[in-house]
Amino acid sequence: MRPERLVIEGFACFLRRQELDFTGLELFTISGPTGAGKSTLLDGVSFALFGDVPRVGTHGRKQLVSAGCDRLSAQLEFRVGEARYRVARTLTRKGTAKVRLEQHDGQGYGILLGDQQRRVDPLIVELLGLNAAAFYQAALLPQGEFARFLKAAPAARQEMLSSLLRLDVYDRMQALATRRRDRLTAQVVEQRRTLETEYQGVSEEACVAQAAQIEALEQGILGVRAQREEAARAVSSLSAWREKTVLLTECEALAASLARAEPQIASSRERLARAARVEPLVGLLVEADRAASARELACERAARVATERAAAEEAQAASEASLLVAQEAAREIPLLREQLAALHRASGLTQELVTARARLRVLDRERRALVKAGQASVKSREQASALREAAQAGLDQAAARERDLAAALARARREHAASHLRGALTLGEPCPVCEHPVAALPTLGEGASSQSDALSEVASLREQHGAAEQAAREAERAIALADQALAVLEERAQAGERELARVEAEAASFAARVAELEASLRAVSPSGDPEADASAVTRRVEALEVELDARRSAAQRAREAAQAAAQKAAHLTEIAAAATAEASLREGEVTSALGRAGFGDREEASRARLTEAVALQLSEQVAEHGARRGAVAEQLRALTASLGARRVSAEELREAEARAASLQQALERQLGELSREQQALAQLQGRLARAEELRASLEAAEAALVSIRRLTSDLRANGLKAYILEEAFTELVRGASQRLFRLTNERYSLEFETQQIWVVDHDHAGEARLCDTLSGGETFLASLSLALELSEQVQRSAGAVHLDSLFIDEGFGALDEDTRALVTETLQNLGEGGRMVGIITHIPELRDELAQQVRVTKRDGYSTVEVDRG
Amino acid sequence: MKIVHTSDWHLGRRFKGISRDEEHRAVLDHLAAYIEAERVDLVLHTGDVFDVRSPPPEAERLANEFFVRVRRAGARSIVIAGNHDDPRRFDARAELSSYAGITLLGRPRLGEDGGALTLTLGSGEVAVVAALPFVTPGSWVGAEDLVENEASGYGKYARLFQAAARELGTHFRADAVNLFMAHTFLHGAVFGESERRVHVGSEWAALAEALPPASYVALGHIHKPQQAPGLGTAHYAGSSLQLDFGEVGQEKSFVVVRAEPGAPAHIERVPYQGGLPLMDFRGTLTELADRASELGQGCWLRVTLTLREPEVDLTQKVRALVKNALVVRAELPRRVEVAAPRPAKGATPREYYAAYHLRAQGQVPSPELLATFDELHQAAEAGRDDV
Repeated sequence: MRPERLVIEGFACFLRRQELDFTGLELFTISGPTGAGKSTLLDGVSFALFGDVPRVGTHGRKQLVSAGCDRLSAQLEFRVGEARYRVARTLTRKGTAKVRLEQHDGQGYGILLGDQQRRVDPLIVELLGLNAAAFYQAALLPQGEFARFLKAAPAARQEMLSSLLRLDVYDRMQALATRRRDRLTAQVVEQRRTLETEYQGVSEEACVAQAAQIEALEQGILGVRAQREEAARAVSSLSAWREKTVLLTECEALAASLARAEPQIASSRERLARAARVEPLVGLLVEADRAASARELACERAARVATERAAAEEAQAASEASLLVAQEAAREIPLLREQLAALHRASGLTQELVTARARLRVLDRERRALVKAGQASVKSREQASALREAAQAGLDQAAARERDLAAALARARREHAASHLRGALTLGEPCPVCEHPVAALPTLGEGASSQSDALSEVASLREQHGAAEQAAREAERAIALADQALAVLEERAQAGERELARVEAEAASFAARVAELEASLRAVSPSGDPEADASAVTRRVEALEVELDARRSAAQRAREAAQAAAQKAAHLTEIAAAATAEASLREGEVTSALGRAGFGDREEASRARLTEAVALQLSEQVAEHGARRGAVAEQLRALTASLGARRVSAEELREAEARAASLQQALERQLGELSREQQALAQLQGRLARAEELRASLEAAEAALVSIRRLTSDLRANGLKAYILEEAFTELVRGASQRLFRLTNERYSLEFETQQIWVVDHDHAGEARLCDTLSGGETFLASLSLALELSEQVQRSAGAVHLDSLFIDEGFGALDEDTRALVTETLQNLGEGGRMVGIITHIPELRDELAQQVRVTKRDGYSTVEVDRG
Repeated sequence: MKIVHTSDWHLGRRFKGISRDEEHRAVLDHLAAYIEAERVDLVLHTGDVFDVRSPPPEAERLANEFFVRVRRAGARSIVIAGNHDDPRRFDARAELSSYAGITLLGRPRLGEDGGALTLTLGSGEVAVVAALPFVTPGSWVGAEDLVENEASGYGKYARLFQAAARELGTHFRADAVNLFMAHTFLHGAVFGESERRVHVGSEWAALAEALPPASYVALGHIHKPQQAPGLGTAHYAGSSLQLDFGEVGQEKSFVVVRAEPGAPAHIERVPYQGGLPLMDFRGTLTELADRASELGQGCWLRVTLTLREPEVDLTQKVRALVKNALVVRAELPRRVEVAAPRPAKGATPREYYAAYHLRAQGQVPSPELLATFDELHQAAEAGRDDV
């Protein structure tokens, strides 16, 4: 298998789609920083092929899906021999897996080989010749694994090798052998036991003896048989005679009995005769009977009708009585009618009463309203008077003020005038008032103000005065208004009182009327409701009238019924009389006829009748009797003739039969014995044959047991398996040693001694060192050789296709210079045979040595792959 | 013109735990001195300058110092990458080196792209050098070719080599010294143990007929100095030191070529000096002790001791006698193994059982026993529960 192209996406650290094209790569390194995903690339190859990554296991598969992706996909194009295939797998986070395997048809991957896991997986194992585990061992040599093998304890190594070479088949063989051995052992024991116990005494001699016994028995039987024949013949002849004897006795008895029956037969004959005589009388009897019954019927009917008539007459009387009663009651009717009229009148009154009451209510309401209004008006009048008083007071006040102010004004004017005048005074000029020349200017008095002051004072006083006047006038007006209002209110109040008086008067009159009406109503209608009373009365009247009518008609009917009944009774009595007459006539006829026929009465005659069937029967009886007597007599004659005097008793016959029977029994017994003896012989022979078989089988089983015991012992884990393991191991180490020798240019080889693997350094005098003393590089070389050899062995044991590719996960740390040179050379030599070799390493020197590189880097959380083909 | 052809130095090589740097230094020193003294015009190095693709600094220093020295002496150098060299590194350094008059060719290329170099010397002589560095088989032959038909794969390589060589040869001129240099395995060459097998082998051989007609063909890759089979003027220079015990006794030399246009070259071999030879000793410990003084210096030793019985601490004992013993082998008399007959490799279970039975019981198992064994084996393989 040689990979050609790998495409992975969403696979562990390979978040984004990455493609690795293997074409042109022969010997290359897969390098990159730790954790970049170098080993993961190979996991990708494994997953694409097998859907499995052993590192992770089936249960951890889902974790392979990258974070943030919902599925991973891995696709590998690979080549096996000349055929090219492409396998693609996807796996979702939930665990849903899909797979597709195609083959290249020369132009593209056109041939679909399978798209179901259960079909594709075995197909891939078939193509590669290896399952996942073996593939890992053979082609993907993982980190540290082969070093582990090298350094493992012997037991662990054996186990590893054992499982690789599939040596567990020997364990299974051992189990099978053990099972078979146990089964054979049990079988042998069983068979021996059977032979000794059950088949004791089974031999040829026994058979012979048995045969002789049978012979004797057969002889005896012949004798007995002859005797029995003779006895049988005697029995048959005797029984014939016996039969006849018996028959004769029977006939005699029969004849006697027939004779005894004669009287009975005679009486039967008589009966038949009497019946014949009765027949003609039958008609008459029938007639008489009929008449009698008709008479019965008529009398019955007449009686019934008489009863009916009596009843009808009774009914009639009753109904007339009740009619009288009803008429009596009907006398009340006129009174009632009067009452009814009164009630009707009363209903008119009712109307009036209702109206009056209504009016009364209205009036009452009006009165109340008026009272209220009166009260209100009183209040408002009081208010108005108060207002007026207030206004008056105001007026008084205003007037007072006005007077005051007028006085003040006058004073002020005087003062003003004075001052004014004073101002106009000039010395020497005449005074405007008194026209005297002014001699001296007067001085202003205390509290006298200047001219302007006086002016202003005057002005203000004038104003105030004016205002006071105004106020007084207003107050007057207010008073006037108040007076008006008061006057209005007075008027209203009076009107209201008048109204109230009126209303009260009306109400009183209506009330009187109401009382009147109520009284007269009550007189007529106690319940107060004339309508109801009227209807009650009407009903009563109606009822009485109805009753009367009914009674009348009932009485009428009863009369008619009584009449009818009387008529009917008379009619039926007539009929009854006629029927009676006829009946007696017929009876007379019958009696005379019976006498003529010789019968005493009707009873006798009817007893003498016989039905047809009975008559037939009796006549047959009589005839038969006669016939039989004849036959019996004949038979008797014949038997007497044949027997003669010989009579054979039952005794004799029984004796002869007994003898014959006993002989028969003896014969049967002996025959039974014979057949038993013959069966026994047959059984004996059968058993003899089986015993022989059993002996033969026992021999065979014992022989097989010997073999199987040998094998069971050999197949023990420390037997053949250990041997094969040892051989395999030796071969492995030898092959690995040869490889190592070649790879290291004849420097190192391996030896297997005392359960350990030793490394021999030929450059140092063949010094052998244990594997745990090796340096990193040396361990790598040794374990690499072992791994390659193992890979070869695995392939061979699986018959696998030669693996054209090999991937090594180098897994060691730094290398010293010398080892590095050696390792480099070794790696170069690996590429022999055109095999593709990929080496995962992070040692730069190693990486540089190989021209071709696959670089895996991780950035921004996802890994990428780059190929440098050198 | 005077040409020196050297090859396969494998600078930086670590061999059996020792470094050959000292010897390389001496050898290169000597060679540079020769080139200086003889006024060589052109130095051709046909590959494997270094042993590893990332050589240690000391190795690089040795090479650089050499080429600068010979440049100062007036010689031009042309170096092609061998299978041990990293061609990309060569190409990366090519431009810088060209300033020192050194032409480095890493990857092979067509003549017009630099695969054919025309040099005019101070004397006016013109040399045309067709240089073909090592081509990995993988570059020309894919896995498909091999799978289909191995022989055709190999044939394809040979054909492509021939085509490349011919193309380069078309740039030859009649008036110049035509030289062809390649790092390859030529059919019929004798190789030792130190050449890498995967790149060597008659499978990948180029045919001598493929070489274009030139005054001189310089070849590298094979460590044994030899003339290439079939053609007179084609030589493997060989390695500068005895690199492996397979080369014991080989005299290592470089090739000095005097060439003129139109005439075959005159070829001479000059031994390298300064390297220590590798020597084999075989004998007893006593004999070694006797010759210790003679063998213990001036060479690297592989000691094979013939012993009658195993001895302990042999390596120490030998090293005590001769410090320059790189490999100590112990040869013990062959044990005749009387072993029980073993089943052959890949025996069937039945055969294994027969062998086991023989060993355990001393006789072969009966046919019935074998038949039962087969029965059980088949049942177990088939996974049955009972038989």
